[in-house]
Amino acid sequence: MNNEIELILARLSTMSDNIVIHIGNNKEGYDKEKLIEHVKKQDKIGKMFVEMYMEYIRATIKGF
Amino acid sequence: MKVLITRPDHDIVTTYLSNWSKDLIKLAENYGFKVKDLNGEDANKPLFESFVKAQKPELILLNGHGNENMVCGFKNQPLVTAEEDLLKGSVVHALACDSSSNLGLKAVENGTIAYFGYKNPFCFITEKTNECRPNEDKFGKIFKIPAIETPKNLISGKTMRDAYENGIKCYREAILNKSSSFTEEENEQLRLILFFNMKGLSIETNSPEFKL
Repeated sequence: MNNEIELILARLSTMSDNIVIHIGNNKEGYDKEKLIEHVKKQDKIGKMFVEMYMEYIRATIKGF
Repeated sequence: MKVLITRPDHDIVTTYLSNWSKDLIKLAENYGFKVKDLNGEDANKPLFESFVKAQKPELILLNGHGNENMVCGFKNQPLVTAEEDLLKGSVVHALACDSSSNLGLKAVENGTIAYFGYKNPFCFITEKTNECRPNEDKFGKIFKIPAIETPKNLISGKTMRDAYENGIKCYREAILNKSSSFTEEENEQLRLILFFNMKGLSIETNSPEFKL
């Protein structure tokens, strides 16, 4: 498993259980458990979430 | 002036978007717009098309699912696609996924004054314990505020350029605002998704100084 995925999984492990993320046109929302599953599988949602998170992390360093 | 607003509400996502847009209806009425609200089942192609062709609304506010080539209405039937020139002569804001990528570009090529939308999937966070209750959902409202900022600017007569820049500014302020009502972990997820939406917000126009 690459470093980026490990980093995102570590961040996700601290996510609140009360949060549901609605991503685009997907009918279901994603809670912590589902997001961790998708990131581990590296399917379409998993890949998109990792990319999204990495861009966000870079922005927190450079500034918004 | 006339504003047409589409508010399908057939799933959780569209229910939230539909709820958020109620503020825009009130604001438009206060600014003297005649409002045509295609709510729920009325957000369908025949009603949408007939109103646009007959009334030529100056402002069109679309809410719903979408992709790079279309924005949808009730039960995800396409309302407007990249192949049509239905949006000619109007200013359009689409709170939908991806539609700026192609539909927005084509619309402006075909005579739409300005097309505001998102180049990527529109996302937001809901509170598990308050899902389907947008008015009580403490996370949902954090996304509502920047999502409706650009349409509010359009209604209140700002230029296309200012409406876009104020939308970005509103997202940035939301990202930087650390609410003490939420835990640090909740704040991180909120900022992540707000950032994603901010990056996706886009404008296509040949008339950046135009105002309604």
